[in-house]
Amino acid sequence: MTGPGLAEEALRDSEEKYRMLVDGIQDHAIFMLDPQGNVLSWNAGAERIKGYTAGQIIGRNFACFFPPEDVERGRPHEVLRMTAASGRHVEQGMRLRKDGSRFLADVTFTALRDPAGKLRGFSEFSHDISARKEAEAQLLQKVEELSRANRELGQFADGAAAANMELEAFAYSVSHDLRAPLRSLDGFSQVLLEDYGDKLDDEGRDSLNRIRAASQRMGLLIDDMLSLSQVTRREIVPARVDLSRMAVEIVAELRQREPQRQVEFIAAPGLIATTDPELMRIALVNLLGNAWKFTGGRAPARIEFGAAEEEGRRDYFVTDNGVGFDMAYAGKLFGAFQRMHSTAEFEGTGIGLATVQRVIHRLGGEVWAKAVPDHGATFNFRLMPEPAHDQ
Amino acid sequence: MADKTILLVEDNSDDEKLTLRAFKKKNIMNPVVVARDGVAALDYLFGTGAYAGRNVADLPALVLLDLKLPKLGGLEVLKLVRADSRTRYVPVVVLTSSKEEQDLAASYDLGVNSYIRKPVDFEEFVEVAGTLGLYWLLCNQSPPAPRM
Repeated sequence: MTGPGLAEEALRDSEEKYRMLVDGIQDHAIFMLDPQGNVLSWNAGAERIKGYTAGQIIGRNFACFFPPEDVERGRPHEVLRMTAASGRHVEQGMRLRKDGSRFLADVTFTALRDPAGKLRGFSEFSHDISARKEAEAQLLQKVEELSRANRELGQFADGAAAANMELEAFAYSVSHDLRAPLRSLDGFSQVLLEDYGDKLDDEGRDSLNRIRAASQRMGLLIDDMLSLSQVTRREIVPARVDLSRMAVEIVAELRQREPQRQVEFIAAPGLIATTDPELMRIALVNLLGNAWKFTGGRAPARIEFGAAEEEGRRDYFVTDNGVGFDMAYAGKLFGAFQRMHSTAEFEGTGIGLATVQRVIHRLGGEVWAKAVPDHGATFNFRLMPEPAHDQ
Repeated sequence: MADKTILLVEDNSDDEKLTLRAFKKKNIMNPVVVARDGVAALDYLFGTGAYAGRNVADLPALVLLDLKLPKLGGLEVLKLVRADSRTRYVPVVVLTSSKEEQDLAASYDLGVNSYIRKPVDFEEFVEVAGTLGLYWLLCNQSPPAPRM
């Protein structure tokens, strides 16, 4: 340990400055070792991280910072050898605190040499990265969770797409294949009636007429089911829609179909919304069609379409003075194939309101109803809130 | 036009029988050739297979085309008929069960003249058949003879 006095002086001086500089540093352990690894200096950060005071550690070998298993396989010596050989050594490793607890440290060793190149010792710069590692592990876990959720979402989307394709294929097959046998039932019943009607009595002819009526009714059911499934399958293309005008057009069509009906219809003007026009039309056709149908026995029949604005929301309504329904059954109102009246009272397949609900849900809205038996029904619906600039 | 042929492309024998009956009820006396799959329809139109040697220039006055057919579907038949200069102008009316948008759009894309959905109600069907016959066999001016 002899060397040029000047260099020794410089090193001492440097150590002094170094001590002053690093003493106050709290979050990093910065200290010096002699060439054998004995601790020469100690800063506040080292005390905080490793738990020794300067008095307790200076002069002791830095091997006490390593876990016993590392000491056993000569790791401290190995670290110094590598640092001396390359000038600098960086590692992440387990370290021991004074109390024996372990922490993960990021450590940089630097070899200190005098101008003649003689090894004078080492500096060690380390900090506790347990918290960072923990955060990294948590982050990694989150990333893992996220990618798993993503995969699940992907599988879900694939499943939904597959289900949609299945529905598509099903609807297509229903559309083509299920109606054909009905045509045969209806057609050949009619053939019997035409060609052999004189050989049948009234009961025989009535039976054939019932077969025909049932076939046609099933045809209607299939058509309604298909339009219900079309509501689910069709793509939404929003546009500016004048609901008032649409309602007036729909009622005009109803009037054309049943010109003998006397129906007073009022539509509030200028109800414009940004929504899918085709789906909206399906909903309004069903709601107004229902109002039209269930005011059948009324004189005068009265139907109104309008909207109430409240707290920036707009609730549309279709109200009539028809037969209404018992609110006790309101829960079944929007279910497919649910009917409130017998076929003899009112025609229908029980799909109209299910279709309305599906449409309004697809348009991001809600639909609800209230009624009093014999005193009319009111159907309300709300669409997805409009963007502010659209108001 | 009463001697001009109607080509009925239909695989369902019930529908075939009912269609023929509807024509009869509406006094459509034109001879009807029935093709029971897409290939048979093309054989008739192009004088191949079972119809080898048929005068291809003698086009049917009307082709009634079902869409769901064995071997070759109606849309494929329509595509080939429209792609061939000999049959490009022959009136083709799709007469089918489906009113699925995809079928409608595809049929019109391929240049169908008309698209009719077979109603379940036979009396309605008779009216449809009568209207079809009246329009395509009597009112409509046939296209000029094809250039071979």
